[in-house]
Amino acid sequence: MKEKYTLIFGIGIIFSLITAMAFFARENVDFVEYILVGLVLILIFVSTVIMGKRAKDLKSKLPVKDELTRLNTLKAGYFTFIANVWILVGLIWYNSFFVDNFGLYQLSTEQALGFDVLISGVIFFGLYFYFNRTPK
Amino acid sequence: MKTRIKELRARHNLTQEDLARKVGVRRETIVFLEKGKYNPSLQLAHDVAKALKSTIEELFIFD
Repeated sequence: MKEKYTLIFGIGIIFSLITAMAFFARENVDFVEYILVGLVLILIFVSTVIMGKRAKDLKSKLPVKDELTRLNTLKAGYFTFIANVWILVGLIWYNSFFVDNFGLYQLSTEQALGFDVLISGVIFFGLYFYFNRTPK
Repeated sequence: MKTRIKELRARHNLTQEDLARKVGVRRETIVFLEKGKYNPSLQLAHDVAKALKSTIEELFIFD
C-alpha cells in the first residue's frame, strides 16, 4: 500500500514539474536556462521510466524495493554527494576565474544553484541505473 | 562466485518471477544472483536456499 501511495505521489510531482515548465516557457528564457530546462526534461523522462517499472512490479505483485535496490540507492547517493561538492567547487571556479579571464557568461546565483541541483539529480539517476546494471 | 540457483529453480519448476515472489525481492535481483554478479546478504541467501529446499553451501560455490 505504501508503495502505491509513493507511486501516486511521484506521478503527481512529475505532472507538477511539467506544469511548471509550461509556465516557465511563456516567459523570456535565457540560453543557459535552456540547458536547465533540458536537465529537468531528462529528470522527468528518467523518473517516468522508473515509475513505469515500479508500476509494472506492483501490478505483478513483486516488491518494488529490495536489499539490492536499497544498496544501489545508497551507493548512488554517496557518489552523488561527492560529485555535488565538486560541482559546487567547479561553479565557484567558473564564476570567478573563467568569467573574469575569458569573458564567459556569468551565472546568477539561481542559475548556479539550479545547475548544482539538476546536475546532481542527473548524476544520481545515471549512477542508479549503472549500479542496477552492474551491481558488483 | 558461482551459484546453482538456476539449476535448482528449474528442478522445482519455478520461474525467476516465482522465486522472486517467494523470497520477496525483485526479479532483477534473482537474475544477478543466478549470474553470480551479486553477493547477497546472509538473510537473502538463507531465504533463497529455503525456497529451493537446499542449503547455502549447496547453492553458492566460492572459488
